[in-house]
Amino acid sequence: MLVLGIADHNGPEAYALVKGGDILYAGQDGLIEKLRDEGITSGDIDCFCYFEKPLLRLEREIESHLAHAPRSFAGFCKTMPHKISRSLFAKRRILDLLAPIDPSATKDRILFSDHILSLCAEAFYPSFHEQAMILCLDHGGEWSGTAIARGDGHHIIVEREIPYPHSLGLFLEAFASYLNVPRTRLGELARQGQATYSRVVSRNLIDLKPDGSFRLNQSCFDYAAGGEWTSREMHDIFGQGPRNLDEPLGQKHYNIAASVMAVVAQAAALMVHMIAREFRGVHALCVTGTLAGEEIVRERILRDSLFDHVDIRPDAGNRTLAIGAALAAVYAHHETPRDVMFLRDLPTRIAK
Amino acid sequence: MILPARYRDTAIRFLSGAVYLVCIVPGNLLLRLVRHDPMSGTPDPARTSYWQPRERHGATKPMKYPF
Repeated sequence: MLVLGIADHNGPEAYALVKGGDILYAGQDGLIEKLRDEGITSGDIDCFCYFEKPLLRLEREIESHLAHAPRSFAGFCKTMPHKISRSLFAKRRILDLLAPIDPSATKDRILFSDHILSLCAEAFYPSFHEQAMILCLDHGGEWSGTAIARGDGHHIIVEREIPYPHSLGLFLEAFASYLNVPRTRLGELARQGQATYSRVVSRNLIDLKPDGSFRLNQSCFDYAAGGEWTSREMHDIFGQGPRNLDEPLGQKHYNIAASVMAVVAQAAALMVHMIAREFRGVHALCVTGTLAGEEIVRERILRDSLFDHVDIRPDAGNRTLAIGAALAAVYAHHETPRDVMFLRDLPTRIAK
Repeated sequence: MILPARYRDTAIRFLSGAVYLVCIVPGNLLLRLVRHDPMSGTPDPARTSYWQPRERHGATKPMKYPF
């Protein structure tokens, strides 16, 4: 079975070509050359799998605007026309993406995975575990960015989730915007500071329960209404507005970054503890999503984990999502039996 | 396209604004009337957990469909 995974989430599209459980190709360029090298001609690909369900995402966007009217007026007018056309005509758009690769592609060969399922599939299926728990810590999928799933053979069952707009990824993104730095630099800033604002953050901005579940205080954030990331209420809590680009980074900024990262790492550690406590009998854990790439979060999970094996998948870009979508189509949709012993011997070939 | 490109964006935004005023704002008022908060924006100290089962929002639907 030959499946092509496609992902174009916030960036240039990526493709992944999967044959059985073998990842033949994953990347952004050079797919056509790879197909030629492998002797794969147009029409050989059994199906194409998109990494998410666009109409579910649209539903969430509209419901978000509904909940925040009339504040969301500007955001709606600015972004929704593009999002509506993108979601409603998703099949047409996917066929356009596929045109240079497979001109014979038809709408009935397109499958739609789920954002969480794609991430979980990429973390679990190539792992050497027959059974594993999967913790997904991402920004936001169709309806959730934080989820716990159980992988068993070729099945992935999403057990629990924390729905939008509550997401640790968006929480970090909001602070990156507040400090006016790229999110990837937040960990670097945190290393230079002390977590002196941890109590302020956990008292005012996030309600963290002992099982790791959380809810963000939405009066401090404005992203769900399609406006700025943070609101005036949050600026009042820290005694200043977002950092201007010409303002140098100071100790206070480092301390805020350190505090936020500490709270996020604590939430991740609590989730891992809860999974170990409630899903007894599973000895492996796969962690995936954007936050799995944060070094502070990764260190904390590895330090506090009660599992025998912990696999952390650091990257959750389009390449990861495309691989996950293709693997989900192979195993979850077509129910191809997963041979873990075979996987153990199989060198995974990924085009860099 | 009937409209020249320079007017297209303005027209689309105008239409979006109209859709917002006709559909989204009354929808929001209706939600407030029935006291339904789809985004559940405030923390609830009385709750012990915020985890929810996955069945919500049709995630168990087959991969054949975009919804």
